[in-house]
Amino acid sequence: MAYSDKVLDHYENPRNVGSFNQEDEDVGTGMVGAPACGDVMKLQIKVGADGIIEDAKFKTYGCGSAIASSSLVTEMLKGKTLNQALDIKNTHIAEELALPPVKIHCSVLAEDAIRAAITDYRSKNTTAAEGYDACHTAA
Amino acid sequence: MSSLIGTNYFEMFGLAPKFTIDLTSLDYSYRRLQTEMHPDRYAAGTEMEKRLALQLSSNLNDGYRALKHPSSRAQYLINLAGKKEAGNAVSSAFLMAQMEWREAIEEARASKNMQALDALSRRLRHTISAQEKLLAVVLDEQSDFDLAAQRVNEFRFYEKLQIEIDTALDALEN
Repeated sequence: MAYSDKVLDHYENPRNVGSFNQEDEDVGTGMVGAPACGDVMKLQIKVGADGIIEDAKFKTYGCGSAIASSSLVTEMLKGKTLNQALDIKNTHIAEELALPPVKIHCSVLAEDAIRAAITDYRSKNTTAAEGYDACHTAA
Repeated sequence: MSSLIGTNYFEMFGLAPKFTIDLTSLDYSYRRLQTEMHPDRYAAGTEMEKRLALQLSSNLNDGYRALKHPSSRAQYLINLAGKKEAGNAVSSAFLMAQMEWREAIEEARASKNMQALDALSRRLRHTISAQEKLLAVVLDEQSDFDLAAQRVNEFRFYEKLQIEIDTALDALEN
């Protein structure tokens, strides 16, 4: 099966490979995996005080399509709000990379990773989002 | 040969529907039935017999593959019990540990460290054998098919690691 040029490009020159410190408050980490093929994907977002994703990194062990899907997603995420990021669907990823039907599950995995990263970020930052003021209770 | 139609894979090989099976018996039954069903033996038969032999021989191969490997055998038992697959459900902590395994394998491969790969391979074999024992308890003793479905998902990741390590070792040896 031939990979599309875009998949090959992301596979050979993956964007934003790496990690942020998972413990940081402004970082959301999404870990997802596909038992059927053994692929593992870690996607991290770094969110600014304005609620905009300022950076994204990934680390994926899997086939070329899985690597390309997560690489593409890190590019798509930057500059988006969390709600805009949640609008990214696997179909966008699959279309952009021209994934064949047998590789659609790789784009699904990348979409799951976005959701997992945002859920993680939100669970760390719920109090802030609700306007909770730590100074008041401390006083 | 028509007696094999509609039987499940365990019945086909004369085995009890358990996760713990005697692999030697499986191999023996497989070879015996394979000879018996071989389409060549029905070359002079009617069209119906030929088609049937072909169908059975392909069922036989599917059944052998399904029962031979622990994860597919467990999955088959879960399907027999009428349970759905557990989707992609595995815990985040488990995936994190998988990431560490992959990183360790990658590092050993990149630095052509045969000893490190051997050590990883040994550690993985222990893990896989422990996981198999857990699957046996969950399936054969507790009949907890939902839990088994999750464990099968995890098991598949370990099988993938095994392939990764073997591939890395092969590459270093050649």
